Amino acid sequence: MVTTDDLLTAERGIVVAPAGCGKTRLLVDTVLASSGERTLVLTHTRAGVAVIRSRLADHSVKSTQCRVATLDNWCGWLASRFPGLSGYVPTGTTRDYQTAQFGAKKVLSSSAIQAAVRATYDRVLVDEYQDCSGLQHEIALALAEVVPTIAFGDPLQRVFDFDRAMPDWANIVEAYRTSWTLDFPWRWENAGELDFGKWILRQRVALEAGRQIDFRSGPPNVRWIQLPTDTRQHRQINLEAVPHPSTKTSVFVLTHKAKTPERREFARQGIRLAVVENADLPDLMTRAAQLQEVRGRSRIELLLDLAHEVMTGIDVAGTLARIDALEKGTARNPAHAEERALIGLAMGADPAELAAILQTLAKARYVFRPDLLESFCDAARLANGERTLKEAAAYVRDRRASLGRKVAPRAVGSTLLLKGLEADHTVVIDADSMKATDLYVAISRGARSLTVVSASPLLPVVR
Amino acid sequence: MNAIIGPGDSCKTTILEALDLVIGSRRGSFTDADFHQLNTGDPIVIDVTIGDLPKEVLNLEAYIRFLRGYLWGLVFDEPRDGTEPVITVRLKVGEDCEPTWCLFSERVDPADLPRDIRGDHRALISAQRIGANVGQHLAWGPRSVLTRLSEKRDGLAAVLAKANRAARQDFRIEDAEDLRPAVNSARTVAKDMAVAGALDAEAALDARAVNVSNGAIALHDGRGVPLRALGIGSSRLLAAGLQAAAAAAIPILLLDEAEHGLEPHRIARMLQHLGSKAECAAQQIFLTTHSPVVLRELSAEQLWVVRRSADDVVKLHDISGIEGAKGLLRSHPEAFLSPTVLICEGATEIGLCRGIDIYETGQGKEGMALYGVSLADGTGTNQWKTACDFQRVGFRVGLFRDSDAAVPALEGEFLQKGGTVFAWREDQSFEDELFACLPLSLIPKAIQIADRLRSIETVNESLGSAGVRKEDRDRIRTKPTDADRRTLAKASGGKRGWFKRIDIAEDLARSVLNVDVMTDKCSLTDVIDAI
Repeated sequence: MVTTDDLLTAERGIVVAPAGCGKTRLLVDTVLASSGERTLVLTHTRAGVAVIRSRLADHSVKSTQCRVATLDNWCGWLASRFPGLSGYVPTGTTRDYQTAQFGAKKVLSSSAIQAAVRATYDRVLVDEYQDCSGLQHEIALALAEVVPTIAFGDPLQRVFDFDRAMPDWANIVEAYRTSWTLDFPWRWENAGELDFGKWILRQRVALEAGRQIDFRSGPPNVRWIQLPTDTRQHRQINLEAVPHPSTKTSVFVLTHKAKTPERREFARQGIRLAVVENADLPDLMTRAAQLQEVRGRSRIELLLDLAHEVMTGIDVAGTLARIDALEKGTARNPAHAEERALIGLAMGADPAELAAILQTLAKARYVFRPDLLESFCDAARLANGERTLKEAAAYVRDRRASLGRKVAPRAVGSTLLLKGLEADHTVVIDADSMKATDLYVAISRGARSLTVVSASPLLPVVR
Repeated sequence: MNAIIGPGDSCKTTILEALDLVIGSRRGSFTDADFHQLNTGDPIVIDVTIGDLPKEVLNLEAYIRFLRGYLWGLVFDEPRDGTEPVITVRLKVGEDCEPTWCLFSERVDPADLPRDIRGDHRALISAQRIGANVGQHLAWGPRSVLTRLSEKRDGLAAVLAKANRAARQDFRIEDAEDLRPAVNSARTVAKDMAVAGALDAEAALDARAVNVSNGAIALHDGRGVPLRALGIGSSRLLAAGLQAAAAAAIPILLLDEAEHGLEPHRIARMLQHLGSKAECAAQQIFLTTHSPVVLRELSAEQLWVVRRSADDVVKLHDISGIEGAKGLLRSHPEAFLSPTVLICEGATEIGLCRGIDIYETGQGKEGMALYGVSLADGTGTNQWKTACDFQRVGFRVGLFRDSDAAVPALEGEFLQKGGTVFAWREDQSFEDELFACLPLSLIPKAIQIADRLRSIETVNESLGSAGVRKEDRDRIRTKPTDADRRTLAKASGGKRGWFKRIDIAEDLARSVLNVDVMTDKCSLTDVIDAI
């Protein structure tokens, strides 16, 4: 069992941390135990930064004692302060992470900077190490040459939204000389489901060794539902696999990362599932750009389209036809409140109107993309003469990212979007298409139960 | 340890003053007269770049925009590989005469300046000065070394407040009857003017009069005499010693006129105590001096010569690069303190110059010292290198050489840079020139000097090897002829020549070669006159 003392006395080392085994707690405890010293904690996402920061704040750790940043952010900071050495000059808003990283690496190669790094930090902790690119790995190693450095990561949780060459995990472990492996499933122990947790740890070992998991022979917490060959039945079977909304427990539904439209359609089915949005909210940016300049009837059309995208019960074509009829005076029934508001939209240009009308529409309907709706409304309210809707959207996006994500208790998302997060129950649909890493991330989310819907009981499918 | 030397008005003290302003007391009120040529439009800017930084200042999170690199006398704005990380503190005084202090780097937009170093970090790179007034260092005050050496600074104020309260209670008007009439007058006036609050006015100790920042607590000797009453030397010695003891808290010490008030043995003691011989001194010290005694205690690496060029640029020159500097510091430390150095090829030339100088000053004429000239031994073959090196660091240099050796290529460079060479005629050694020019009547006097200071046997021996027969020795000593001139030159010359000793050459010059004895002009007197 690795202790904070082990980490505090090591020159460098790597903690292999399976899901739910207390990695973040160990990292935070290490910072807490290093009293009087200064720690640099580097991770990959702003959400990760937010989680660690809030944990440290719970223990009133001062920011002077510990800096928490994303690797990109820290590299950008270092490189931009020494433009001559790094060749990196930040250009407005588009941050060229690659150049910043190359620059940071160059800066770190100066003996004078190394002395300053040594004087500044007593220890560096790099979280989610499996997500390090080759260059980021080199930067971390450059730091390790100067300051005691501990890496935390799990090769089985390497899931990305695009393919890129990653440093070989065996080489990483070798570079850090000492490695420890966390092996107690705290997440499940805390839920009173220790046996379930131990089973998941064993499956991890199997996956790591390239073997398959047999979902028919798990503990009682594990349920396998077979998909028949008739694909027309799949949606119904998938829907029925999700625990009923009446229970007060949290549920994650996970699918293959590529199946974004399918997840949205799944959520639209009205089983109280919220779609987990991408951290950088690309849909918010697109919609804000569309609705920023547009006037007249198109404004109504685009707004209805957005409403349809985030909530149930919006008939875009039907509503547009009604509005046309009302304007021509050919409508049989008089306009009701919603329609009057929509017609008014064609006249105006104030972004705040968009927020108001979206909220009116949402009242009587089920919103399955609450994050997109809320962030759009926030942006529409923030936009004014000085700040365009697009700029306001970018501001809202950045602020949300730096605050960290809050995922709805019942959510549907990809392994990529839900990794690192925890729920009571997990439903994995579309499990046949998953690789070992995706499968591991998917099955290790739920503390109480796991439901896998797939054609084959043995996963991952051998291709 | 850095000793700054140089002629008067070369800005030695100004340099200490500048350091004190930027990283020391940081006090200073400025007037138009402080600006170069009174031009207030051209701001005063003093940058002090500091290395060997403590951890707190080397901190990237705090000072990343101000970290710079230092290598071989150059400051790089970004600390590139191989440089030492440094930080630059800038004092700027603009037209309003208001000083501002800030950290400086070219990377930071001037509009973002001033951003000063944090107060608690400032102490870590600060300097203390021991100047003319050392009394403050022997008392506890806001910036005094004793305060830094005290464990708890807050304790001081508490002790003082308590003593103050006790004193106020002990003070009774009954004991000070002389004050009574004045108090009574005040009461009467109060009554007349109807100032109700002053009707019962009483004399008492003023609580404000005693406080730490006024130096109310000071060191006293066993009899209660404050130590600031010690002699200048002793109090400076004590203050310097205290600074060294507080080295951990005061990294840089500025010492005006290191020798001030001290006898040579105490100078040596103080310098060694401050770390002049230490491999790795605890404190960096900048001192000014005019004393060869101080120089003798130091090594060439510790000496910096200030030179002010014609266009008013002041530079410090490292003297450790001067050929033979190490030996000269022991044998002729004065050379480094004068604006002009006359480098002499060897003992003969030194002796000759000294002899002439002693004679002339004895006659009430102006001597070398009046012209700021010091002699230095060029130790023969290295003299050209030494001369050029002295020239390079800004000295006015003359070279007095013998003419029996080939002149190296360096002479061209030396002359071109304004050096002056004093030499006998081509291929003539001093002895050739001496016995060629000396009137026959004076030759016996010259031989007598050699007889006396070398010994008759030695002189006889060299006469013999020059081919003088035994029976001719007396005649040469008493009645030499022109035919003997070459023989005598040969006998007196060579490696172990008669006059190749400072005292002998000195005696010869003083008693024979002076202007009152050598009344006729010749090639020998030409050179001496030129010198």
